[in-house]
Amino acid sequence: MGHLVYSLQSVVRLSDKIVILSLSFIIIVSFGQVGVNAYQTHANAFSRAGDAHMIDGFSPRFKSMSLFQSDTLGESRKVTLEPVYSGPVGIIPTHLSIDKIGVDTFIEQVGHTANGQMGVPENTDQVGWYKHGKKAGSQGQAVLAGHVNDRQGPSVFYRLDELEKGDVITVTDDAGEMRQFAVVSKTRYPYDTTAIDEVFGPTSKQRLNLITCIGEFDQTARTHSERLVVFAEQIN
Amino acid sequence: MKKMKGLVVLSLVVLLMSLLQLPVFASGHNAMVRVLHASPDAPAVDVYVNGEVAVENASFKDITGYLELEAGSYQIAIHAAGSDEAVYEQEVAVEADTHYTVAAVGLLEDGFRLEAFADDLTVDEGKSNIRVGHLSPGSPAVDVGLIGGDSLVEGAEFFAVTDYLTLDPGTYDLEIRAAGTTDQVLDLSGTTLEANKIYSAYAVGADPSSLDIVLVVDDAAQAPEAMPQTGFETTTSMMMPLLVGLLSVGALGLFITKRRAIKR
Repeated sequence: MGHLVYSLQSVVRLSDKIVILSLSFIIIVSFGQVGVNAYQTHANAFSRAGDAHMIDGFSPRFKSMSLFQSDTLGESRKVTLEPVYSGPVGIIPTHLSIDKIGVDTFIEQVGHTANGQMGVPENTDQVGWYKHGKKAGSQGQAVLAGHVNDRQGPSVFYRLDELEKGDVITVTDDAGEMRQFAVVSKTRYPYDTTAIDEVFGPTSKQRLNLITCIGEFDQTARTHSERLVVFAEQIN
Repeated sequence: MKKMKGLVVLSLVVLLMSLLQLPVFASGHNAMVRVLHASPDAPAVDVYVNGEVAVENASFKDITGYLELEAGSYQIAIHAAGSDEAVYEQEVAVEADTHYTVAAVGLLEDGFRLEAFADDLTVDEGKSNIRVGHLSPGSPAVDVGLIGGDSLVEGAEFFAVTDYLTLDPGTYDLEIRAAGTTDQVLDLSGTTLEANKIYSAYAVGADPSSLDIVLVVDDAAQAPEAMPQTGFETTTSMMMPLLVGLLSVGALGLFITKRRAIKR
């Protein structure tokens, strides 16, 4: 320490001062950036919350109170109710494979983050199915999201952009029931797009949509600048 | 003059930016329409929308999947299955972003018509929603409730579809009884309602003796507010500042040592 103080005192020339000052400045900025990044990463890790559960009491509402006496009704009968779906019945997808881009992975169930985004899988080598949306193979748009990368490098949907029209996507459920989809189109959206309905909204078609990040990493928004959505429709 | 040019360029840039920021209007804002055949004496039917066949061979108690239609008015024609001639025609108006069930109700001979009502495919997380439709032209007003217990729906008459009731998921011993009495018409004990599903129980049939229930179920469907966060900033980009910082430390150390050496 004494040496350093001595050294600094011994440096008097203006050019030397400038060199030392600028180098110190670079050191502070660089480490500051690393520090801020570490802090934000840490903070982000805690911003994800589970889905809120609302538990209300049982409170039936009464439609009307008209009290017409009945006509002849006859004997009572027992009817067992079998619920019917009004369109094709979907599956809860638990496994995904896309031969074209070497994807063969399990599917987690994801909901919303605290700030209303679609959730993402815990494991960056797996994908997440949006559980508040449609089942795969039912009328509407079932949605899977996968990471393009993690801090170490490429993740499950790193090659999603390579998918072309006609490429086949296969999902199965726990019982081994399978649904196959063929890519029909792909679109890039800004990360804060308001066109959410195009990806999640109703349609009479049986769609499976895959989402990942694409574009440059936006330092201000702390996220990739765009999202890639691959739209696929059921083929069997 | 130079200032003016700059101003023009700037305003042009701002204009372009604002154009790029225009909201993208989704193409998916359509009406979703499905058809329920609830006319007990009508044969299997085909349904035509503005002259185009949309549904083929729907029988009594069948419900179709959703058709996607742009908001507006449509001429809906009912044909006997396979026939070119319409037995009934009616105009039905639909709005964007709304789901509808269009029920063919009444007897073919008397009071046949289409009734359109909106479906709500959302439910509070972990709950079940159920509504009841009285689509049996010859049946009197009914109550629906727990066997020997409280009513959920009172005094439903043909034609009526109730609002949705929110219930905890579970198995309910329900019955249909003559309105305002304890006279059971149908025993629906053991009806199971699952969480995050929406049920529509339609009472159909010409009269009480042929009364039956079509229980239509839908999975709740929501959309998130925003796209998922499916990427991270890679470590490589943080390596740069770290590297620069470390190099600068080295350079500073070296510089000072050198200077000291020279001074000596």
